[in-house]
Amino acid sequence: MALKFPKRRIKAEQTHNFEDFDESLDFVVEEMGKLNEHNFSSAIKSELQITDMSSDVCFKGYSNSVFIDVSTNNTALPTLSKVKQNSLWTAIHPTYLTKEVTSTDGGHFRRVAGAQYSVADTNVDSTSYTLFGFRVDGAVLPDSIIGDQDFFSSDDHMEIGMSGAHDSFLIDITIYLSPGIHTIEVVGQTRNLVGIRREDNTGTPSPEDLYIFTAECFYWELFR
Amino acid sequence: MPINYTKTQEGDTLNAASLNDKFDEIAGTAPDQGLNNLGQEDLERFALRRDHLPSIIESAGFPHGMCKVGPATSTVETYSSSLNAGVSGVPAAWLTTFGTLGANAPYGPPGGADTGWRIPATGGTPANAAEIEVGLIRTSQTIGNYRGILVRISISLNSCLGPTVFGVSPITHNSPSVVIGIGWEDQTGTRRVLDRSVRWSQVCNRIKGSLDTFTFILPNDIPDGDTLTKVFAVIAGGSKAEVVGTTSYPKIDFYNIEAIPLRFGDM
Repeated sequence: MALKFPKRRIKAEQTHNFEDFDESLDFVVEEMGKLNEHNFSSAIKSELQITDMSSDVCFKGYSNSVFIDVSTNNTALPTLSKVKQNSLWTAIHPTYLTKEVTSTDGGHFRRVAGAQYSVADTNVDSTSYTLFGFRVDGAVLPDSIIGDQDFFSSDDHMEIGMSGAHDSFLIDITIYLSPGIHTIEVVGQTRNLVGIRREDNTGTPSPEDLYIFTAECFYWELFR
Repeated sequence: MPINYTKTQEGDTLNAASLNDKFDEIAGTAPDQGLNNLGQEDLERFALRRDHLPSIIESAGFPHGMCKVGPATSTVETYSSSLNAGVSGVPAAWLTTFGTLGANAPYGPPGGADTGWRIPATGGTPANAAEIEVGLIRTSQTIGNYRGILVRISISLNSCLGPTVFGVSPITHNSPSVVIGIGWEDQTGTRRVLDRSVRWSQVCNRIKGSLDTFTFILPNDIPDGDTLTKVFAVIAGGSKAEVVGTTSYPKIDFYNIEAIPLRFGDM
């Protein structure tokens, strides 16, 4: 038989797992049982050694971040990312956190993202009841949402979302993505659209935007 | 177990002992010596598995493991250290200012009003610290053999009380805040906190919860030729307009830190 080894060549732009090696070697090993040293040239060893797993690529990754000091709570900075009170999922710092990825074979992706959020000093108790999560190809992943796992059925005033005049979130999830091109975004949603659900010190409805300061992401294609 | 036979080289001694030693390397010395100790699964189809591949992570880079959890039993301690020391915002050199009070500063709670970051460590004992020893040199665009190190921390906040104010206080932007972050140490013992990992949380004085942050340490975070010797968590109290001694102090219980060194291609 003609040997094609490995059946699946290892390339830098792909992820790998040990089953690939099994499948590549299996039929070779079976055939090897019928061969002896006279079937191999002295050069074959160097030809077979096409990668070194101790130093070469196994995964694909992407990281990016932006630092904006929140300690003075300057919500007028033009560099901030804003989540408005419109109950829409809004991309956070898309310039830094949104990433279009191409997966040749599909695979498991771990995504980690976090950010600092705050509200204006003028309405510090307008805690924002905010949800955060990952959006892939336009669809928010329910399992990634932080703020309330059961947000579809929770009380719509008291139990939805994260709060705090300034606070942070961290979301971390591993899911499978099919082969192809995908767009990964970090998104936030404020849940207090109606004024009576959002009160300031005087009880006056006063919706306030949510401001995102520092943010960072790391996306990691693990294996098929 | 993976079969990994060491071939006899020209010039090697060839006797019973040398043969047995090589077979023992494959399957161990007990209870049966040599190849007799191989399991059925070692010989079956698809016996080749991850054990046969060289480890992507070299143990020398992380001599004491890649995660740390403390304390073993619940121990609430007060971290009476303030980050911004009464100025609006943070002072100069805030990323390199660590507390100095206590026997093992900046590890553990200072025991009195102090300024700067503290590394969580129950009882102020460095061995308990939310800190991982590393031994990797930044060279060009790698740290050791890695493209970077993913570090994640979590700290269990028990409460955040002022030394003079108790009970629920009015919510203002100056309300007690806890500030956390991730730092690293070089071969000279110099510590720095990575600005993008810093998170401020307004906790008023009534919240228990988890304080979480992460960062991906990049080669550019470390001067070329320097050694990354440690990564650690940091915590401090923070307030927009309070001074050290009257700002509120976080009380924390459990904490953990994990580090994952990674090699990868561009996504």
